[in-house]
Amino acid sequence: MGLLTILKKMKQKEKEVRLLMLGLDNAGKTTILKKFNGEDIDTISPTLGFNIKTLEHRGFKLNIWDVGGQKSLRSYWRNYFESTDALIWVVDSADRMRLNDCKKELHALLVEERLAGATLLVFANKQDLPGSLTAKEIREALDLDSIKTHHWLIQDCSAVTGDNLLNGMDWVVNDIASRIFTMD
Amino acid sequence: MAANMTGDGKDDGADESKLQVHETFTELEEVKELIRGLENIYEDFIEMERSAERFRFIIDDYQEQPHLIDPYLEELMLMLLNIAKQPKAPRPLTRQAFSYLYLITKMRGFKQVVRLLPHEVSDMEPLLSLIESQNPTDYELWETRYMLLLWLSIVCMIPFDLKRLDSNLQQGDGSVKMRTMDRIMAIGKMYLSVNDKVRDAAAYLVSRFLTRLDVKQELLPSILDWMMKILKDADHQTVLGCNQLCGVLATSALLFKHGKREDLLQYAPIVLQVALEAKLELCDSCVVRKMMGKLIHRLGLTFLKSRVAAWRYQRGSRSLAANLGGGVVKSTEGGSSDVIQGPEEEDEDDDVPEEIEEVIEHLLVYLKDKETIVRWTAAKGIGRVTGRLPQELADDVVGSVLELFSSQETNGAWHGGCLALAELGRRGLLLPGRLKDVVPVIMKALAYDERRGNFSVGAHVRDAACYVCWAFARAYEPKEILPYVNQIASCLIIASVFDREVNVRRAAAAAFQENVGRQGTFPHGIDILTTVDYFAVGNRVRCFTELSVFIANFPEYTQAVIDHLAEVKLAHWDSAIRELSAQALHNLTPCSPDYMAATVLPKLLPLTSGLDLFQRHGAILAVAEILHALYPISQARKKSLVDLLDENSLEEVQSVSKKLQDAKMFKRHGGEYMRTAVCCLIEKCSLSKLPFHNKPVIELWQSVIDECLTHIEPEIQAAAVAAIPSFFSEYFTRPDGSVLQDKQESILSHYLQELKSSNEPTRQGHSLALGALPRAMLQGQLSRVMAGLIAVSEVTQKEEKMAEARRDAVKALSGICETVGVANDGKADSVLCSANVATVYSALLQAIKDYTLDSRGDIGAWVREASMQALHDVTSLIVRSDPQMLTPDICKRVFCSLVQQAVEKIDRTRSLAGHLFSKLIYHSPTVPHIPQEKEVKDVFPEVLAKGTNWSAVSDTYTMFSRLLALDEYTYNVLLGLVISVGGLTESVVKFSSASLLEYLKSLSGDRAALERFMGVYLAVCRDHHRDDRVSLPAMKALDHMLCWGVLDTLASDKSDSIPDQLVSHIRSEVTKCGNPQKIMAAADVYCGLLQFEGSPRSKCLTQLMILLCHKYPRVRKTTADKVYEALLTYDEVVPEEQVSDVMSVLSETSWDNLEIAEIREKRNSLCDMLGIKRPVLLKQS
Repeated sequence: MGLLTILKKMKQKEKEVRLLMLGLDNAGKTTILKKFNGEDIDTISPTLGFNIKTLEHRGFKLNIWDVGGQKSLRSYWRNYFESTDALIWVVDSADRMRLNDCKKELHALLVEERLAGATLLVFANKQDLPGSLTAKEIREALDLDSIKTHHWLIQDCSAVTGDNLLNGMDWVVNDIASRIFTMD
Repeated sequence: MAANMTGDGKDDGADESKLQVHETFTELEEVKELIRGLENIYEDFIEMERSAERFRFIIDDYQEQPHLIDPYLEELMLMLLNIAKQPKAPRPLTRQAFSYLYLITKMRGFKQVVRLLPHEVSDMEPLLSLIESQNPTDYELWETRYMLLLWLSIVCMIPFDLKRLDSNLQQGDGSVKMRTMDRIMAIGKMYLSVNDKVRDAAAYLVSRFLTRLDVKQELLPSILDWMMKILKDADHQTVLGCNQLCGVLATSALLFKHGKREDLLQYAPIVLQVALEAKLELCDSCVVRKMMGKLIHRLGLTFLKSRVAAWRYQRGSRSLAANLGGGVVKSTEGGSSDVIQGPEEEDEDDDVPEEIEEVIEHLLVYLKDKETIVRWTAAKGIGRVTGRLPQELADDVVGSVLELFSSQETNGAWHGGCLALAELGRRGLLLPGRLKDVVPVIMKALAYDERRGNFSVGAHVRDAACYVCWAFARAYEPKEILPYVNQIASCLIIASVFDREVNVRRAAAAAFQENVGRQGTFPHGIDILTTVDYFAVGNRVRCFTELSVFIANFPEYTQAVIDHLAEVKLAHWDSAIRELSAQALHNLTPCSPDYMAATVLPKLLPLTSGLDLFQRHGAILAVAEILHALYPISQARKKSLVDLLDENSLEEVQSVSKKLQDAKMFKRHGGEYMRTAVCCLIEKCSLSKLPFHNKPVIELWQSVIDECLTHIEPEIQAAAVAAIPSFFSEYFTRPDGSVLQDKQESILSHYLQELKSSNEPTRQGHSLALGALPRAMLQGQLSRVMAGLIAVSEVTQKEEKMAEARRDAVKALSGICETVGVANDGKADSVLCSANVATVYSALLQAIKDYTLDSRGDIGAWVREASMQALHDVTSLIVRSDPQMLTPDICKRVFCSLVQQAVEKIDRTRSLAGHLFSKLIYHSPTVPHIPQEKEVKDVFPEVLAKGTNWSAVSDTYTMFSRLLALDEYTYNVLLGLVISVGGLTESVVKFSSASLLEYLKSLSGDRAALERFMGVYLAVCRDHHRDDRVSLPAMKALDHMLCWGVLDTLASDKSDSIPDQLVSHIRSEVTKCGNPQKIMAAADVYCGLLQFEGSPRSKCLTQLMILLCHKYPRVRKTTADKVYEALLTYDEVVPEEQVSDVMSVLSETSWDNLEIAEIREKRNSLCDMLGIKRPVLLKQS
């Protein structure tokens, strides 16, 4: 029994999950994280660093990784102790211009072997803005229906009002739980 | 609200198997079918085993995701139990059912499974009698007993007084039955001391049973007495004693875990006392020690009231739901029911029982244990117990844990200490105030490496220290860690780049990442973590040579990186690490040249003659590498290197070798390291043009190099050879480039003399050395050197086995050609020119025919490979400057030789030949005189030639065999191909014969071409007459060709002489031959040649008749068999009326057993029937 075994057991006992929050810049990732954390969302500038926050939800410990405008994402996918359990892909629903970029980035990410099996939640953010696309439109624009390798859900939401954030997180936690945890 | 849409990829089965991640328990129906099928197949042992294998395979596949079976668990258990519990069912059936139950239990965990086992009053009596009828030593049925005891552990908890089951204990015959309670306890007690897994179930059963109200009142004290007695009496040095101790300790630990504190508190002191007196920390069984650790820890928790320490450090962990303001927040966390929650007043005056001291003391002992499982138990125990202590005492515990980190303690203690610190930190029991003591200790653990001779231990300590850093990053607010950030960051980075073990590098990289993400205060954290990540640190060479430079370019880390390498890693026990560190220092020098020159070098120089071998080796290498890196920097600054160093340093560099020699360090243990290191120093000093010209040190260096050249280790020779070019150019030539003639003369004559040594390594070393000479040294002496090397490259009878020397001579020959260069009308003594080019090629083309064999196998292959490479290199060299020097004859021989090697039987050789051949035909500039160039390029189009995997048998043979059609190549292709076709390796034979067959088929109908081909075959055979390397495979290949029927066209014309020539060739090969393999191969060929009517057939029959009376019984028997087969195949050989008689003589005579006279009689009768003359024995009287 080495340290890795011990850590694996502990992950089960403490019900820890690791969520990676990604998306194009200005999609609202840090706002969502701050909202999760109950912090003030009035002053947010582009994320230069990266943040890990731990939150509790329905008995699970969620370690949320917010990786800002980083060139190489590979470094965050996995490390010695942990692998990524879920991806939260944040979309700016009002930014019609870049939806194609958004689709390309997302699909490029999903073919990565090391993210295989991870749950995918797409937040169609900024629903509070006028003229924003609906979840259905974004689902088509991102061609989500072609994704067969991951469990996925698209959830419309607004980080500013907090609408539907919890619904999305509930689904993520349920999906991960059914996959990796022993329910007592 | 917009629709909420999900997309599931469940139908994508292909990906699932690849990922080993399951969505649901998909094999439910199959598993049920297996269970149902048991009743039909239990008598068939094979079917039962097949079913068991399948069942195990399915269930084991879910080991990592056991909860997926939950929806069906109860159903499956009941199906199995219904089979298993029938008292009259046959034994194989119940046994298998219980074994399936066990497999499910193992996968899902017994705690989940137990709850689903039926537990009604009516189950009690049958279960008890079933258990009592078991034989505890029947090793085939342990799964049965294990499951039965687990079952009992839930049945015994029925919520009725057990006395109600004891209504008629009085038996009809007057005896009294045991009470149920006593029966259960007796079962438990008995199985507590068995040797198998049933003991675990028994411990669980007893501990559960004892928590029943009625049992507790009646039996608890007496059972505790019984257990204490075992603890006192059992001898832990015997197997039985260990079993008993394990059982008893596990039971008591579970009892104190499950039982109510107020019930058990009164017994805790005495149990502790007895347990400690048993001195089980000395026991050899780690299971006993682990159980002991568990018991002590549970006792400790019993002594203390359960509560959450109010003083613990809390980093706000928030609830997502609460923050988002939605839904009801409910905490589902929390341990056992009697936890006192909340920040109530700290009752410091609460008495802490004095036993706690002993508990902690012993947990600390187990924390130092040599086994990880024991240490881990102890670490958990310390964490839990500390959580219930008042702050002051808890701090004492932290203090005691810190004391484990001392140089007197074992690596186990360090590892245990790390585990305990991480556990305390995780629980918030390590207050920020203590960080100032803890951090330095962890930093030491991060570099822990305990050397033991030529290996070391400590990777697990370093790994655990990384875990502590990782855990701390999560446990504390950034402001607590801030004072230690630089220290932690440097140490983690160093570990993630320079640790020897990949797991530690990765653990450190992960800890660094966690720190950057949670603390955010690490200098250049993000830049570093995106470059030095999990993937990048996997490659150690890259870590040392590239990542180190990347990190050192951040000023915060430069000095830490350099110092760590210079002070720690250069003295590492693993020579690979020392070499890498020296290279890393070379690459790091430009980051901080003045620091290197002024501080690092002066620190390293004294170590170059120190006492520690590893340090000395590392220091010499590092000095060499740093000097070499400083040289271009001094050039760029328009200074000489001497200005950059201080005078002492230069003096010391000069004296390194002398000191080593005076201390006889070249000869002593570790002399090999000193030699390679000094060779490296010589090379780098020469490259750095240190002003040592004409000083005594040059003489010394020359002698070091010369000694290394005779050394038996190829690595040491290689080090010396590597030093030669720069050393000779720097110190033995004048600034104008001319050589010092006296030096040249003495060195050349010495080296050339050594080429004739009878010692193979000496020849090798000096050959390579001559090959490495710089151009100036060869001026005017080229012919002499060439002649010397060519002499070494030739096979002589006496030195046949020196293949490695020949190989190195060939390499050297190509090396000097490369050095001197090409000039068509140059002087033969200074340059490769028309006067000596033929000599070189003839030597190389001779070397490619080296097929020497010895006990190591085909050692000639080394020479052939070196020769191919040399042919390529020299040809390429000439073509680049003056292609006219190549004559058509040379080119033809080069290409033909390569082609031949490309179809022979050794994979490696073939691959190299194919590769070089394709490079030469598409060489740029082009090679002149490629024989039948156009046709060759048609067979090997450029794209194909560059994209082919030359080591794949399936590809190369088909391509090269097509060259059989080209006159210029036929002979050599065939010569190589027959060796493969007639060889032994299955794949080689398969593919080579397939391509030969393909070629021969393409000739069908073209008699002239076939005759040409057979003519070449005969030429190959004649040229290798009686050379078994070729002639035996050639015969086998001929046999194949005859069998394929592709030579039929030769038979249609009786005047054709080819079959006749073949017969007489075979005859000449086996006459007076003693090799049975060859004779039997000849018999095959004779049989095959029977298809040609007329003189070939009769000659063959005669030969076969002679072989039927051969002196070897095996030859006679095989020949008879083969003739029999041949007569079946070619029906016109024997006159029809004789066929049955001939066949019966052939098949019914026992050719290998009878007396020779009898055999001869039989044989002669055959001759008569076949109408050929009886062979007459030639007597040499």
